[in-house]
Amino acid sequence: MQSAAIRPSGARTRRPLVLLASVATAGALVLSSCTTPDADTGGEVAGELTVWDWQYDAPGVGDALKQVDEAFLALHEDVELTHIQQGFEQYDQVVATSMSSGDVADVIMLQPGEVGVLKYAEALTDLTDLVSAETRDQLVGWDQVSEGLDASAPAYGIPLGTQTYVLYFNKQLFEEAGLDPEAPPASVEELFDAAETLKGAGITPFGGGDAEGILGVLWFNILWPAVATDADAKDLGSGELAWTDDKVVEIFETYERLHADGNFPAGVATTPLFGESPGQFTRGEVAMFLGLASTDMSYAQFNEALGEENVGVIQGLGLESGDAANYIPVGPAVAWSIPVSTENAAAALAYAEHLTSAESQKTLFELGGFLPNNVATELGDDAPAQPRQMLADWESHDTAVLAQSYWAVEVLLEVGKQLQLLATGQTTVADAAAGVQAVQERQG
Amino acid sequence: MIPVTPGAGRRSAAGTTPESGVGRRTRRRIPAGVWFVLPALTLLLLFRAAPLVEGVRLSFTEWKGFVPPRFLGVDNYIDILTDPLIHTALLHNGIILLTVPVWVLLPFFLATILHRRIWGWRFFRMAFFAPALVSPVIVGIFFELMLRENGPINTALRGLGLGFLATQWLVDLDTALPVVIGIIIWAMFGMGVLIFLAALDAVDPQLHDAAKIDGASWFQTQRYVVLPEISSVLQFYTVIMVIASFTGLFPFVYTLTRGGPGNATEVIDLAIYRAAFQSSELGYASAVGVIMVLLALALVWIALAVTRRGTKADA
Repeated sequence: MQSAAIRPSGARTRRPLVLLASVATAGALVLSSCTTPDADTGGEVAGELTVWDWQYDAPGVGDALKQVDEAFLALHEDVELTHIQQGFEQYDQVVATSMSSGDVADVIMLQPGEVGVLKYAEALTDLTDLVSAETRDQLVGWDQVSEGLDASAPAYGIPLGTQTYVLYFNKQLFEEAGLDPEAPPASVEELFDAAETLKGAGITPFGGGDAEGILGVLWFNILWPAVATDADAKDLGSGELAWTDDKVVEIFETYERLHADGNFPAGVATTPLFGESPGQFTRGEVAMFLGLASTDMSYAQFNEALGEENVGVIQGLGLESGDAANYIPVGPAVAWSIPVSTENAAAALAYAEHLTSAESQKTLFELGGFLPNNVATELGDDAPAQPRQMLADWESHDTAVLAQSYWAVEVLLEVGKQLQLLATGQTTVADAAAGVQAVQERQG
Repeated sequence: MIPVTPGAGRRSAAGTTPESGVGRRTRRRIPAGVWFVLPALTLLLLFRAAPLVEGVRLSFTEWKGFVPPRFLGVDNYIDILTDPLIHTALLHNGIILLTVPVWVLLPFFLATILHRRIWGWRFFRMAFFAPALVSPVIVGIFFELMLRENGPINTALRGLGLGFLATQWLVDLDTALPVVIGIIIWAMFGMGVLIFLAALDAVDPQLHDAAKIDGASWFQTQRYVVLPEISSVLQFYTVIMVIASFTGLFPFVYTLTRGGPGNATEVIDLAIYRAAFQSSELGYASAVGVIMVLLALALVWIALAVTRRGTKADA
């Protein structure tokens, strides 16, 4: 059986999967008698429980969540559960205004990190001493829901799933261009070489869309570990490292180079990234596509269109080639939090822990393509090759959170804007870096 | 004549009424009309005035929207003075404001032509008005699709041998704002045509006849007869357009460019949205909102003064 995904975000040492899984499982067994009454043991929780997220009606993930809910209700017959999907675009507004009026759901899905859980920390329950030891030990990514992004600080959410940006490639197109699909580019320079070869064969190397002005942020995140460390990323987020630093400039220059000479399809700047651009890859129009590890724009969608055998995964550019690369960026997909205004904290905690349990995460993986962050989750022998490879990569290399996890939302948006201007040749690298630095300084 | 008062027919045996003398006097002092407007007035106070006052109060606080606000004094207003994004947004609103004469005169001009009942005027009236029936969000999404690099407009240009004109209309720093303004004018002018057409229809035909007898040209008739007659409508429409140039841009800009490329189409109502719902700085957003309202009021006052002066001069 394939074992679980284990990526302690921010960890600097390699931890063999089996060892950690064994330790966690043993720990869970020892501590099982110490779990809180609210842990997912069919304990005494009852009453009305309202849950909000932005995925409940989505195909795949929504189906999985419904199945997870049914399992929860089977365990807790006295709970009356209402699960509501709020619109993604308005989600933050709905949550903030509802928190203001004290009329928010008992359990809410939030983005991990500064743009989600930590932004609302003042209105969320500190779960540090409330979650069971089993949950605490089995899940990875606690830093993304903890004060100051420090896993040992108070936690205001429970991390669920694993998410990162992953470069997918079409093995068939690689072969047509004379590239070895079993030895994809392993460094930034090899990526550019492969792009040239593909163009020589009449194949557009990269897909994507930048109408939202966010494509550059995705690329920044996967290029960053090739030139800088997680500590640098933290310094960049806090303002200790300037956006005009050579490391940032190098990434901006790489991104500018990436958009030169027909590497992307014509019209990339006016094509929406979400919804439309993955079609370029699924239709076989481009050889590579920067998508997500889990759920949307991921292997699940691409395998269906191109066949599992034709979809490859590239992670950690430079890790194997002696470049400066030092980690693979990865973090929790979402987080589940409990507002302080909830009147049924026991049921809320039981539900959040149930959602993140090994069994629920297996359901979420199988039906929704949600890669687990629970070390006790077993994917099953029939799991597709791509999630297996991603899990193996994360196990065999150092991992840390995405660089953007340290940015304020204003900085994130400015990076996207400046890189869009850079990609369309309407600014210079120096001006783009200075533009982001100005916003960073304003944010303090 | 003996005044009839409430309760007059219910005098008790002891010679007193069920109501006190004070209550009766109070009722007498309050005109009946006040009671009629009271429900509407209450709703107005509750849903208009109270939020306005609350907005002003919040503008002096730091408020994330989900924890109690913290009083900051005038810090938000000082921040606005040094916020380059707000300055850029105000500059763009200023540029858009300069095009308001086009927003007003274009529909007026078209209405005067249609008023002459030219061939197919009913069709044109409907065609001009049709965009006003469409939600601004739909208009934005429609043009965002049309103006893509590989969209229908560029494809048509290339097909006509005008490929050199094809560009990334909404991503190019030079074209984005003018294109957005053009789309907003297109979306709004139909309403103006309809309003002006109705106003022109209301002008007494005898005035036209008199002007004709006096030998006035078409232009002179419009200038000295029609314009003074419809001046109140002109004032009304100008004021509405001035307000719209500050507060009605969000749905267009958000769906077309989201303020981009860079900040090339950032406008003040989008900046308020960003501050409130992307940065969760609701106190700051309220301060920007207060500034926007004050600016809009000042501009409306100026617009009214200008149009009134024009009308007096015409008279």
